[in-house]
Amino acid sequence: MRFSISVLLFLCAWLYAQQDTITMDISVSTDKTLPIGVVNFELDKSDWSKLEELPQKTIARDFNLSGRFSSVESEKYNLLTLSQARAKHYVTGKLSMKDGQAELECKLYATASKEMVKGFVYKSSIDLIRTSLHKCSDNVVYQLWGVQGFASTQIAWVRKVDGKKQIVIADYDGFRRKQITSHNSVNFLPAWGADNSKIYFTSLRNGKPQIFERNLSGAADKLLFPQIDQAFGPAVNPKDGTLLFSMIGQSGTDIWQGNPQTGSAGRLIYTSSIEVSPSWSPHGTAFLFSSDKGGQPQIYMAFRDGSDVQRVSFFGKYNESAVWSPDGERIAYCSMDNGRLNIYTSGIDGSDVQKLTFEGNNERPTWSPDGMSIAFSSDRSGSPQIYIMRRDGSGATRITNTGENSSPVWSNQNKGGIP
Amino acid sequence: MKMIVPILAVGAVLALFACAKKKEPVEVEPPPVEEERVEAYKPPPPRQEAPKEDPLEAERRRLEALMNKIMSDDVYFEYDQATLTAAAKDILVEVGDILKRENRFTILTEGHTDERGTESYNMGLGMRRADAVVKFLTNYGVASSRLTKVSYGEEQPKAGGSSEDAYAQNRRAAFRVKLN
Repeated sequence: MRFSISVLLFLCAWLYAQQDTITMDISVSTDKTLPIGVVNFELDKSDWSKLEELPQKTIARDFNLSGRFSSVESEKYNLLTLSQARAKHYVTGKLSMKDGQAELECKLYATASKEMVKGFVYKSSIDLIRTSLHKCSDNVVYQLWGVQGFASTQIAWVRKVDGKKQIVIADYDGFRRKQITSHNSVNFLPAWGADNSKIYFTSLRNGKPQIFERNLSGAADKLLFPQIDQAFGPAVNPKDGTLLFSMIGQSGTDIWQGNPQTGSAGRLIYTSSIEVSPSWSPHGTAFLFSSDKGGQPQIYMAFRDGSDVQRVSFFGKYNESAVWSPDGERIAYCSMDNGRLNIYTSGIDGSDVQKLTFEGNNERPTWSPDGMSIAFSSDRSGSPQIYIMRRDGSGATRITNTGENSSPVWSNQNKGGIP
Repeated sequence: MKMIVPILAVGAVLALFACAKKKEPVEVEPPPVEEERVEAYKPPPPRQEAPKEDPLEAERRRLEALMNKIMSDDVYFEYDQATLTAAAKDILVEVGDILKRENRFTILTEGHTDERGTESYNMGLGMRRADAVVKFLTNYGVASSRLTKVSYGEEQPKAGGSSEDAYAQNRRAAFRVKLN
């Protein structure tokens, strides 16, 4: 009897502890972040000069960009520093070389008790340590939030290389960048395939805008819909992989739908006005687009077959590039006021408009797969660069530093759940 | 045979000038170039009999000059507009007159925008500008089969930078001429 009571008490305490964790998560409003300690990782005596960045820097940036955490960086474990910053947990670990492989130990601790909540070990070659660190960040997000973060995702964007726009992809934090297109013409408006294995983009390589497909495991670009004279700006249906795109016709620019597998295509939205920038809803049942049938571009919504068109944006004269949030609740778009573009979000009925950017021109918002953050391009520093901010507009962080970079598009969540 | 005349043609004409200037007796084939062009400008000479190289060469140069003229005749637009201004219409009348005379010419009209606004919307706006030009030329009497169009949106600016002046130069329709 006594035993069972103690078991019951223990159970209660345990449940309470669980409850506490969960309550904490829910009580954090979207506009506030959870402080988390990042204590310097220990490095063994091996040669780590090839590391672009110390482990704690990568992890701390992941947390700051996650839209969920704010990093409290600390050289060593220091209860006072961490608890004053209200960091109930901290992350630290060790990097060592074992049998020619880099071994990353990554541990999540409770600050007060110094008890380990969860530990992870990753083995990789030296040049993939960043990938292991991102996995660690995602695992910490999963431990404390119960959802999958985006530290292991990628972003595609347009980068000027020798004066020509080329499509590049990189880790979402801008590192490990890789150039995808190389044709010496304009390549722009990229989109990820539903399973992240392909990039669709627009190119002027044949003297006119056309849509191409690039399998990321190959090196050849495939022209899609050759029966269409001019087309641009593909958007991929997350469920069936079909594309929406703009087709330049005899009277105006229309929204078409096409199947990249079969090559068939047909029109969905056709007026004598300009219809551009299609974007699917999270489940591919509806889509957003812009039309200037009212004189200036405004955002509209339609069912997947193009029926039941409804206007979404009512404030501002020039609203464009709308993208649907992953939870389906909001849209992000850019709007021009006083000749400058800024990023806004609103409800899908156009209500509750929130302005997120205030400096320079800010274009092409794209949601992180978990909807916590938004990447976009901005010329606020003097040249166009890619930034990531939280979904409330706070914490904007530049992830590209050189050249000219624009049109970011976030990859989809990697299949297979938590890494 | 189809022949696309690139901007090189301008270079070729310049090169001819350069040759003429030097006054060296070494194979100065083309006689004074300026007079020829001016003369040949108005009445299209009969092309049936071509007894020697000179008239052929002259004809080639005459056509090149006309093509270069059309290709340098950019038509400009107001900000975010695709309506033709009075100045634009004047240029299009000139272009239309040449096209009506020279039946072997077909032209591609490129629609361009300045960098303001979004890339996607500007693709649409560029085509609307090309449309306006093609519509005007069709109404002026040029067969629509000789007129094609393309939009480059804001992707191929003529002037770099973000000044009002650069914007004004980039909001344009430009022509490419083909000789059929």
